[in-house]
Amino acid sequence: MPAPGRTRLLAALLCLLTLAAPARADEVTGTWTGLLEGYGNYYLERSTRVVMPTMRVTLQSPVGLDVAANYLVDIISSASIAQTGSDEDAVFHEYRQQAEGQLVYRSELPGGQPLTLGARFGYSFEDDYRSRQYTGNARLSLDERNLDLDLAANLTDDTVESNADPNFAESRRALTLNSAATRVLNARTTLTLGYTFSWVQGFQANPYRRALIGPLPFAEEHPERRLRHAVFGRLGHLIAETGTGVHLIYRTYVDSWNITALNPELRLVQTLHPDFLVSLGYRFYIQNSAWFVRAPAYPLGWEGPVTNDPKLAEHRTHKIGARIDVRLRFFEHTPLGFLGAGSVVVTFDRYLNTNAFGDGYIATVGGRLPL
Amino acid sequence: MNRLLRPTAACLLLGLALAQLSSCTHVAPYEREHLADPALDTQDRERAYHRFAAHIYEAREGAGAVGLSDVAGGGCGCN
Repeated sequence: MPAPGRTRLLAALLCLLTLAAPARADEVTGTWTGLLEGYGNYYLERSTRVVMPTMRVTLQSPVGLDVAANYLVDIISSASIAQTGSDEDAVFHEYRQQAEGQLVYRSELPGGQPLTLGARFGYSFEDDYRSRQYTGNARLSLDERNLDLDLAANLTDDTVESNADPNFAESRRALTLNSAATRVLNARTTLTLGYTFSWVQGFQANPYRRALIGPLPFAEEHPERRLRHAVFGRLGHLIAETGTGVHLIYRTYVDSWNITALNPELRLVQTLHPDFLVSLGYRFYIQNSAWFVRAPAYPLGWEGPVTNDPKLAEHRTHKIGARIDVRLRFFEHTPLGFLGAGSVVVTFDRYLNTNAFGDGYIATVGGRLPL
Repeated sequence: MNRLLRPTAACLLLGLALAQLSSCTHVAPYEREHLADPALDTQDRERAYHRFAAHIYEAREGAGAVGLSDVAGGGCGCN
């Protein structure tokens, strides 16, 4: 079957997946192109296991319009007294589904500067939580793409319920504004600097978790509003002689709950063969406590916000990992030749966390196939 | 007040850095082969992985996914 026919058939069968649009439509012949991606994501820690298969389809038209769809299932297995209502930890399973649709339009300003506009809608649902996410973004490329300016706005509208209380229903809304500038410093080096602001309003606690005031458990109660700021930078440099990419990433975060976090990261990407890349990464994260955190219990008579959320307490994390990307060109000239344009990826990380959630493992296996 | 000064200072530094960027080397389109090298141009290829990693940070770290490029936080009751 010729490529355009196969593309249209897949587009009709799958109503899927998001993000990314690396494949280029063929403007000369006027045909659509696209990309099919599938990943199995896995996270394991002491009391929680997450399995999250994801599928994505992106289609590019020859007239500068991309259409993408994304679908994932988040299968969470945890041991919890609060959620199961039993006298001891028992395993329970949660299932979250998320679907997203995205449109991207590529155009130019009258002066010829490339302009990309995008809009995305996502809907996530599980039996006690629903989230609607609206995103708009724009990228303007200047100076023959030596400078890219990015702006994005995201609005999240969540409904929080509780399996333990059918009368419980709260809302949570967040508005996030992202800005970034990426500059080509020279033929081998790029620098990105950005700033993110997020305003969160509404219920931000966990309806199942309890905090101790004296000897007695009380439902968590977080402040209704949270203002969040982050400044980030990324420096990428290619050592062309050895085929090594060096990436330095840094993020500083502060918020109105008095949390300050620092987050440096180093990634090395090594081309061992045109079809085989290996990446190594190290990420460090450290933060202080929110102002209303008290451990192990709040004093009798405490009247302010209460929490038992480990991620709001002082802690640090280390993430060490590796990634392998393999292009499947060795399938060319075989009966599976249609895979020849594709690639597979395997990642593995060890995640060390000093807060009560504890250490974990992160793994991903997946692939992408141009359409 | 000190907490407000920190993001303000960060924004000023960001602005100064951006102002300095105009003095960088101009790379013509025909000179961009290294910039397209997969060892340097990783964002698209690694986007799916970083999105899952951000999902974990959102559930396990106080800063969550705020300030991570191309990721919008939230979307689940992973609190």
